[in-house]
Amino acid sequence: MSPVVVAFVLTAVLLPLAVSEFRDWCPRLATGLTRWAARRLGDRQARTRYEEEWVANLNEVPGKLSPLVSAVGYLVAVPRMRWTLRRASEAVTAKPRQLPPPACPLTARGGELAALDGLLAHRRKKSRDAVALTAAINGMAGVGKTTLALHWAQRIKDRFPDGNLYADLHSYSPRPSLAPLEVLGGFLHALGVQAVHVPASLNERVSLYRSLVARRRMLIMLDNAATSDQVRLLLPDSPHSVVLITSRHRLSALDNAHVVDLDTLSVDEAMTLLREVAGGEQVDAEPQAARALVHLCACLPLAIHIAAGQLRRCPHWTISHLVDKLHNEQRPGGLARDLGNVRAAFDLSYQTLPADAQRLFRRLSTLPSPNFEQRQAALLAETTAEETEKILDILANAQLIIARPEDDLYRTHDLLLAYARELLRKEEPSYQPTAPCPSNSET
Amino acid sequence: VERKFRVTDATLDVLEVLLGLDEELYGLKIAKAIGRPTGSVFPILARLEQVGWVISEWETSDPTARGPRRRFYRLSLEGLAGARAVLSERRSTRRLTGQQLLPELLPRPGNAS
Repeated sequence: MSPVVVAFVLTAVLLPLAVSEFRDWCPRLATGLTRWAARRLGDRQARTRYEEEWVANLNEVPGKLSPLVSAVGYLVAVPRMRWTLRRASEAVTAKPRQLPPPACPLTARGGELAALDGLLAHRRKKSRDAVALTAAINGMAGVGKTTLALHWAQRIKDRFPDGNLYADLHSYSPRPSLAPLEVLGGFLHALGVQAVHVPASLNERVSLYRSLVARRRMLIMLDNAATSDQVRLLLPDSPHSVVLITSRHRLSALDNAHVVDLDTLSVDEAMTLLREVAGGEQVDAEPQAARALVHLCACLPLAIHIAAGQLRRCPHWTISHLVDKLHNEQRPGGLARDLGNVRAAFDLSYQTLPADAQRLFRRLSTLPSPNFEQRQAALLAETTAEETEKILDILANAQLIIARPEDDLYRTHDLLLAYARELLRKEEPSYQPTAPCPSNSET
Repeated sequence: VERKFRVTDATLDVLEVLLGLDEELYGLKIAKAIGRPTGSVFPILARLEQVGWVISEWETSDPTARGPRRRFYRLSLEGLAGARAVLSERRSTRRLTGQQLLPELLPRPGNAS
């Protein structure tokens, strides 16, 4: 074969073939190159996001050579993008610690704690899930959902090095419950986002919250949720985070949530609790009366705490004395369903309060949130700060409110608020708060 | 408006498109609208997103569609204020130096695909 023929074959046949082959192959090469470039970016979330986003954009570039040009453009952009994305993850470095310490000691509940621990251990094995592990503690009012959740959260919180978030959605308090917009505002603030950078709209807050949490290992507790809508937007796409929800109902739309049902205590467990909060000696001295007492309290931890508070406040009372009084208080019919037969315990506790404490307790039901400050209470009590503090001490002693000195707040229980509201309607139907009580839930 | 990043001409162009009425802006569309390569638009968008001026969301219009989704960009409230301030500031300096004015911020035929 002469060199001329070889040259002809090369230029006229093989070269066009190669060029056409290359042109066909180009889009695939471009896609591959773009994916490769996106995978050079920042963290896992950024990598998957830009891989999808860039390929979607690339697919719309017409022609066969142009996509390759675009792909090279993406490749060239990678160093700048990496710099920006690294700055983004350094920009917000706050490690929030919002979990309050549990207000009450935990009695029994070993099975439930083990179930929760099991969820956490199981999650480790299949950590490829892209969503946060969600655990929901369900149970009736006063059964100890929040106490259990806070105790468990305290046990495991050190496994979440980026901190923890806590929001009380107070769905069962008199005012409308906390909307995701407000909760997200608080969370973003806690995550270190400056107030001026907290977006105004819900969508923007959700997407900023999700992108911040996605990079982190956090424990997020949503206390007292009522509806799926309240919590759905607060669930991050973060495989390393855990969300803990307490609710009186099963939140049906949370498909992936693991549910832990919390029942009232068994009689023996209730006795253990009574022993812890009222003192072992007194219980041992009157075992029969103590059993009658926990029955009257329906083995409901909240009611037992209140009954024990009553015994503490009246040291000359025996348990039998208290049980007799509770029997007398029990009136058939007309009881609010939520309160059930623990109402007698509430009634007795309330009736033995001094008048100014009774009045303040009733009026607490007009507050926008179950968490309140002393100055809010002073407005309701219509008295000085010192007097208010004395009255609040009395209420705390009766276990009708819980003092949280660590954040200068007081807290009461939704069930007790419902009770207080009823008392207010009956005893002070015309009462209106004299001054608007500023909410402390706003951020 | 506090300036948290260097505002290049390309950044101004991107902000201008984002100020338009088009609600489905994604990287390529923005790049086409301002006549710059996507490779220089994405770093700008990432930067704007990092400082909170821009919000991005996956497209959700067609759940049956397969394949990669586009990601839409829009200004946050802060970004809206910032973009307006930056653009008017730059425009007045351009006017002073006798350069050509940027076109008005209302929808332009070019960016409605």
